[in-house]
Amino acid sequence: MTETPRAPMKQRLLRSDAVRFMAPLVVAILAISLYTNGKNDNFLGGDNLKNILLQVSVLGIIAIGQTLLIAAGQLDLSVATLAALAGVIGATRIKDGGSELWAVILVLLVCALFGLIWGLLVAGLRIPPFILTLGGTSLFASIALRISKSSPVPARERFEWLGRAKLLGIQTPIWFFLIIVVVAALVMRYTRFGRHVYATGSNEEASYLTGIPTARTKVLCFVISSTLAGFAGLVAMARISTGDPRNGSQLALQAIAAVVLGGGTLAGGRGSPIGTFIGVVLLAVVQSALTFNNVQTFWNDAVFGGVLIFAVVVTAIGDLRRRRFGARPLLASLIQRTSKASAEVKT
Amino acid sequence: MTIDALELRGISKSFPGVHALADVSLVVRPGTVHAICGENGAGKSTLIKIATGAQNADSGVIRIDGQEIDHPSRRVMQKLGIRAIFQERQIALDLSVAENVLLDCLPKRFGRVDWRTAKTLASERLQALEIDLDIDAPVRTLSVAQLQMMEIARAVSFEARLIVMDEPTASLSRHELEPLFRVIERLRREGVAVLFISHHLEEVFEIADEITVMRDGSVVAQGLTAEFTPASVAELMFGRIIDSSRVNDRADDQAGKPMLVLKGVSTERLNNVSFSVASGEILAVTGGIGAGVSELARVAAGASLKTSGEVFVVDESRKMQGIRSRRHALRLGLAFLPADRKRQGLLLERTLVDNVVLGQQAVGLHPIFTPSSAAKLAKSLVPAANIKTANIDVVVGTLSGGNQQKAMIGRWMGVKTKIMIFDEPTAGIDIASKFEIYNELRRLANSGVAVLVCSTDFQEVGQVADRVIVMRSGNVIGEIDGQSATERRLLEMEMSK
Repeated sequence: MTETPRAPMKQRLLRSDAVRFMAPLVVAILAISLYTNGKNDNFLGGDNLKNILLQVSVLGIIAIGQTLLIAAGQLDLSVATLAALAGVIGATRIKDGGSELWAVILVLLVCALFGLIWGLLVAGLRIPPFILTLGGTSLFASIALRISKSSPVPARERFEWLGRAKLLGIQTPIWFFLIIVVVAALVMRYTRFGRHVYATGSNEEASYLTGIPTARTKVLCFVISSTLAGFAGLVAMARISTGDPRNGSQLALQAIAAVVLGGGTLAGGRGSPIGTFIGVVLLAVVQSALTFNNVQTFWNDAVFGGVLIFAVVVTAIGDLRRRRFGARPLLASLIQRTSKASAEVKT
Repeated sequence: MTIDALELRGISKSFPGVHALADVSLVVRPGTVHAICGENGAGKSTLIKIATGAQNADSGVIRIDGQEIDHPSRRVMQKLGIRAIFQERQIALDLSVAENVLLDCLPKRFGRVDWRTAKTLASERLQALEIDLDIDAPVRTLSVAQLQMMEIARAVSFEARLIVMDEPTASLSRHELEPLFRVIERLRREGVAVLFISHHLEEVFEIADEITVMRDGSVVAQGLTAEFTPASVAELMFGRIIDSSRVNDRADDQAGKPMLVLKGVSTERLNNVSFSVASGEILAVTGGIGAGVSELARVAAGASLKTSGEVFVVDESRKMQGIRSRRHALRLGLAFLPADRKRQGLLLERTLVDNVVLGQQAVGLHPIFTPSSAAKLAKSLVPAANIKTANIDVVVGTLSGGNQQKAMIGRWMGVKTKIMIFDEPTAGIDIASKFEIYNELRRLANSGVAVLVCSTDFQEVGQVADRVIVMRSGNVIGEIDGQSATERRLLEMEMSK
């Protein structure tokens, strides 16, 4: 029987996430790096590169969990305070004289349990995850404050292997981050579970009617994301040897931003661990470049916001151009008119 | 001389790589119904979009009441009284009927919505069209046919000159057509022009004064309805003669073994439904809207809950397995192809590859998938399901309705499927593609699959089914064999007490 061919390689490449989302980010990262390096050649030095990765490893681990959720059409705002709670619980166990390993296992189990609860509520009762996890954010913050009695809990220089040790000259948090990125990328691309995540996010009703276990897929995503958030919280705690209940309140939104930069959409069905990795690195490079260029720190948030807005606007314009079906928003016809006008000018 | 409500002169439009419309001219007179016929891709939708200002033509002139329109846009055309009812409903589901009818022109007093006037206005409009709807009812509770009536009432605002109806009958059952036609008749008497787009030639001949036939973006014939016959229009539409007789019958007459068995299935809308489908046969369940045909499809597929009764799949060892969930049903080899392909069937924004391999990925034969193995599978599934496409990497949303349906069939060809349930297998598909779908159904049955077709299209049922079960308001009211299931016979059964 004759086979229907694939589209030409060029067309496939142009449409792929790698070219559409990741390549521009990589170009941006390189441009910012080279520019900053021109002013101060320590920027591209090994120490600073490691420093950049170290700074974002906690955010990165959380963002990978968020990638799974967003690809499945879900969201979890509570991961930031869950991470803080994880750090506090871990540090408290040590303070009370427990073993490191048991503290880690306990924390991960508690976080997985919270993820399970979110997942079951979202999948079973169809509660919108946005509101549910917004509630969770406050809940975890309060519990963390209660356990720590509102002050940072010292971890007494323990957990060195989690936060401060080096392997082959590179700090362990960077290793954890990279390993999690690679494993997540493989799982999302090659496994049944990964494909179910994308199908569920693309069209949940259709996936369900096809027979894909959409509920189970969503629950698993919440469990994985919460567990990763707990692990990230432990790493953050280990780095500063303190379980700080107020640590990293911005992390959830930054993680979502990184996923979106890397090609994810909150409507679901898109987003990849590699894209998120590049998005996280971009955020970190920008941050570091601002420091190197002596920009005052109060601009940091503005630049962060600007990068995000710029990225989604560019993506939206690209989508409008590619879209051949459905309603065409105002902007699309404007673009069409201007491109038509410019074509006329040329001829 | 009367002035034309709408005149399109020499309209051309091309998209990158496609010549959508070539020099199309069309005149719609006030108080007449003008039908546009053509198969999918003939350019009907593009023409409507241009007529309503949703898209601009590359060249050509649009005149309304003799006035040339310089910069047509959706807003300008609406102001000039060109209204449209698109296939994609434009409805705010959580608002009341009154609000939806007046959606774009709620009466205001002192800057606030004047609800009392709004209700009066809305009910006046509904009454003027003899539409019987409760204006306070939340729209979510209305049937498809009622929604459509509501949209017409909205379209007929104070000064509608022309109403475009894009496939208004696509989702209506037979007896719901009559109120629609009554409303159109009223509009005609009041001097409103109607541009009526439809696949269904019988309806066109029932209602239209004039007909324009399109093929490949051009007008191939235009004239009064009396100058055409349904057969001649069909021939013009497809450029060849269409056979509307029965699709070839079962390969062997032997009834296979029962594969899907329903015993006393009841839900809120179904009442004690029992039947079985054997391998190798096509069983159709039919009835009007409200009969519960679609609900039955969902329940049989394990996708909706039942209050009592049992749906069994017969497994290899001839044991009856009661299905517990949609996924359990899939594990037992039962595939479901829902009616609403866009919302319930396909991953519209993803490629054909992603869509056809979804069956395998759902069943989970292999825990590991690589993009290249998916492509390899798709390369063979796409031609096996007769999907016509240049390559397998097209985005599924850009395919025609017929090809989308075949993509859903293709999804199940790579998997061991023993039972396939189709809900409205050819909704929104043009005649030529319909026959291809019917042939696919027959091929599936001949390969030993038990095929259950749930359809409210009597003609379709008569053309494909080996056996037909007729339902009315959730009850089975009779069964006949496919040979004698003519449209007229089915209609009689359905109407009889």
